[in-house]
Amino acid sequence: MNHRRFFRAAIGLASVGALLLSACGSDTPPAENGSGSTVVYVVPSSWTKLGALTTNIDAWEAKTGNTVELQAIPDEQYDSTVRARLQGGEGIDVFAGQDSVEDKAAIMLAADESLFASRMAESVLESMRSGDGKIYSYPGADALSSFGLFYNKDVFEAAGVTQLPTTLAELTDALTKIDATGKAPLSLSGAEGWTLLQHRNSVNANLLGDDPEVAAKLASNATTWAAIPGVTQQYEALEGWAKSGLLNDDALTASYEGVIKAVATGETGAIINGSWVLGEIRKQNPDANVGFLALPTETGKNTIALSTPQMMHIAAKSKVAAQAKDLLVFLGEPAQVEKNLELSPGVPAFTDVTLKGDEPVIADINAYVTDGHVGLAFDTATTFPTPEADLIAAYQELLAGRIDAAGFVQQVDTAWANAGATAGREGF
Amino acid sequence: MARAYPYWFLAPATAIFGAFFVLPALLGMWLSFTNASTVASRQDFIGLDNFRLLIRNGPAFLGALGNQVIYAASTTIGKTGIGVVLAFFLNRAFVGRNALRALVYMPIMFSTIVVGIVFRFILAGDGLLNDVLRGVGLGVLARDWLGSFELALWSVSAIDIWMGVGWTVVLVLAALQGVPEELIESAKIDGASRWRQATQVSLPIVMPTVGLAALLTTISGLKSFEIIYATTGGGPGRSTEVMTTFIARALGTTNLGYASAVGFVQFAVITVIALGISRVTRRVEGNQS
Repeated sequence: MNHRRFFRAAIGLASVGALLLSACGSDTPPAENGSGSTVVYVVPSSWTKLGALTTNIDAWEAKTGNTVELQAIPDEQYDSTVRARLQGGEGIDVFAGQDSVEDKAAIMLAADESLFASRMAESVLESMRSGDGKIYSYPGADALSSFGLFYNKDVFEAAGVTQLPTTLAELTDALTKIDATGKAPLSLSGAEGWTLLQHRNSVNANLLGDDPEVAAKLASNATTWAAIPGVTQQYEALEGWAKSGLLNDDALTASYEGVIKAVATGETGAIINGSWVLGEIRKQNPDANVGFLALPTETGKNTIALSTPQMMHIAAKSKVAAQAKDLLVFLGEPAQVEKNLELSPGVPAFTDVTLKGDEPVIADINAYVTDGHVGLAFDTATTFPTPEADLIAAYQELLAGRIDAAGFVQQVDTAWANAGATAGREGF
Repeated sequence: MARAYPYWFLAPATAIFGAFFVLPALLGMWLSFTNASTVASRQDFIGLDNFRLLIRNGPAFLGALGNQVIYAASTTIGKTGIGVVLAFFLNRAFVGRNALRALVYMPIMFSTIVVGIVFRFILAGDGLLNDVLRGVGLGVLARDWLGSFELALWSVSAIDIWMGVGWTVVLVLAALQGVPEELIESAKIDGASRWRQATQVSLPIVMPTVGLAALLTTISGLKSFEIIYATTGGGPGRSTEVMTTFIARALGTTNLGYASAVGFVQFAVITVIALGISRVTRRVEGNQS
C-alpha cells in the first residue's frame, strides 16, 4: 500500500469512526425504566459531607442498574451555576435549591405527592407547597433544620451560668461570665459568610414568632426591616458583643470547621448555626456536652424555626425523569432516612422514621416544638430572592466595626429593596 | 469586481468575528433593555428600567467601580513598573539569565483559580507568609492579608502583579532586543553611564511597547474577575467588590436583563478609560519623537 492509499484509508476509517461515535451521542433515547441510565444529581458541596448520601446512592445503583453522577458545586457559586445550566437545558436531572423561583414550572417538574404525602405531618407537607398549590420537590433524607445557639454545657456551668438566658440582656450577662473564665464566649466563622446568615435565620425565627405575617409584609414591601420591632435590638446586641470582646478574636476569619471544633472541645461557649452542625460536632467529639438554645430576644419570647425538608427537584428538561423520580423516592424511604439521621441527628421530616438513641440536643429542639415555640423558616415563608451576598457583606462590616447596628439594618433594607426590584417583585 | 477582490479574503475572519463577538455583544445590549430571566422564558422590552435599577444600586455599583479602578491602576503601575525594570535587568548578560527569565514568566502559565486558592492559604492569618514573618522576627508585620478590610484589595493586586509581570517583561524584553546596538555603543563611547544608556537611549525606543503593555494591562485590570473571586470573593464586606463580581452577583439573581445592563455600563467605562489612556500614551510618544 503506497502512502497516498494508506492516508485515504486512514481518513476513511476515522470518518466512519466519527459517524459511529456521533450516532452513540445524546440523541439516543435512554431506557424507559431499565438499567443503564445516568441521573445527574447536583447539590451544594456542603451537602456531600455526609457519607450516607453516597451510601444510599450506591444502594439505588445496585438495585436498579442505573448510575448517578453526583456533582458538587461550591456553595457560594451554587445558585447561579445551576440557574445557568438549567437555562442551557442540558446536564442536570436532579437538583437542590432554587426554591425562591416564582415560575417553578419553567425549570422543575411537579412532584407526585402521593408517593410521600401520607408519611409526612400536614404542616411539614404544606411547607413544601408552592404558591400555585403544587409541590415541585421530593423530600430529602436530612432532618428538618432549626437555627440557634449550640452551646457547650460544661463551659456554661464552669462560668456559673446555671439558668439558661432567655433575653438578650441575660445572654450578654452569660457571655460576660464566660469571658471572665478565659474562654471565647461566642464564636462566629466569618470567613464562610453563609454561617453568618444562620444568625439571621435565628433572628428571623423570632420575628415570625412575634408576627406570623411579617415575612409576607416584607416580601411585598409593606414594611421595612428597620420598622420591625426587635430587629435593631438584635443587631445592637451583636455589635455590642463584637465591641466588648465577647466574640472570638478571629470572628471575621475563623473557619466553619474551626468554630465547630471549638464548641465540641469546650474552647468556646457557643456557636450560632443550623442543627446540621450536630453531626459535625459529634465527629469532632462524640462525647461533647452540647445543648441547643433559641437566640434570645429583648422580650424573652423566643421562637425557633423548623426548615422545610431538604428538597430535591427534577429538572423540567430531564431526559431521565422516570429514573430520577425512582431515585428520589428511594432516597426518602425509611431505611435510607434512618441511615442519614444516624450520622446527622435531627427532627425527622417523616412520621414513620424514629431517631435511634437519645440525643440531648434534639430533645432541646423538641422542647420548643412541644411548647409550640416553633414556626416556619423565614426564607420558606417569604419565597423571596434573599440578597445573601449583600447580607454577608453587611454582617462582615458590622463585625469589623465599620458600621453600627443602625447602619446594618439600613444596608439590609437597601439590599432587600434592590433584590425585590431586581427580581421584578410587586411592590418594589 | 477587482476592487472587491481583497475583501473576499477578509470575509471568513469578519464572519467569525461577527458571529462570535459582535452578535453576542449586540444581543447583550438588547437584553439590557428587557426583563429577560435566567429561569423564565420571558423577554419583554422594558426600556431603561434596568439602568434605573442600576442607578438605584448606585452606591454599591460606584463602590465596585472605584475598587476596580484602584485595582486596575495598582496592577498596571506594578506590572509595568516592575516589568520594565526586570526586562532591563534580564536584558543584560549574566549566568542563569535564561533560567531567571523562565522563572519570571512561569506564574502566567498557572491556572488563576489554583493560584487564588494557594494564595488563600499563604496569606491567611495563620498562613505561610505570617509564619515566615514570625520566623524571621518580623511578627509585628503579620496580618490577615485577605481578611483585612484595609489590606485585602492591595493583597489581591499584589498576587495579580506577581502573576502577570512576566507578560510585560517578555514584551519589553522583545522590544529591547530591537534597540540598535550601535546606539548603545555610541552612548558608551560618549561616556554615558548604564543608567543614562537605559533611560536616555533604550527606554525612549521601547516606550511605545511599554505604553501598549500599560494599556492592555489596564484593560485587563478593568475586567479582572478570577483572581478576586478565587481569593476573596469580593469580601470582606465589599472591600474587594469590583464591577465584575458585582455583575456575577447580578447574574446570581434571575434578572439576566439587569446583569446585561451592568455589563453594558462596564463595557462603556472600560472603553472611556482605555481611550483616555491611549490618547495620553500617544501624546507621550509624540512628545518623545
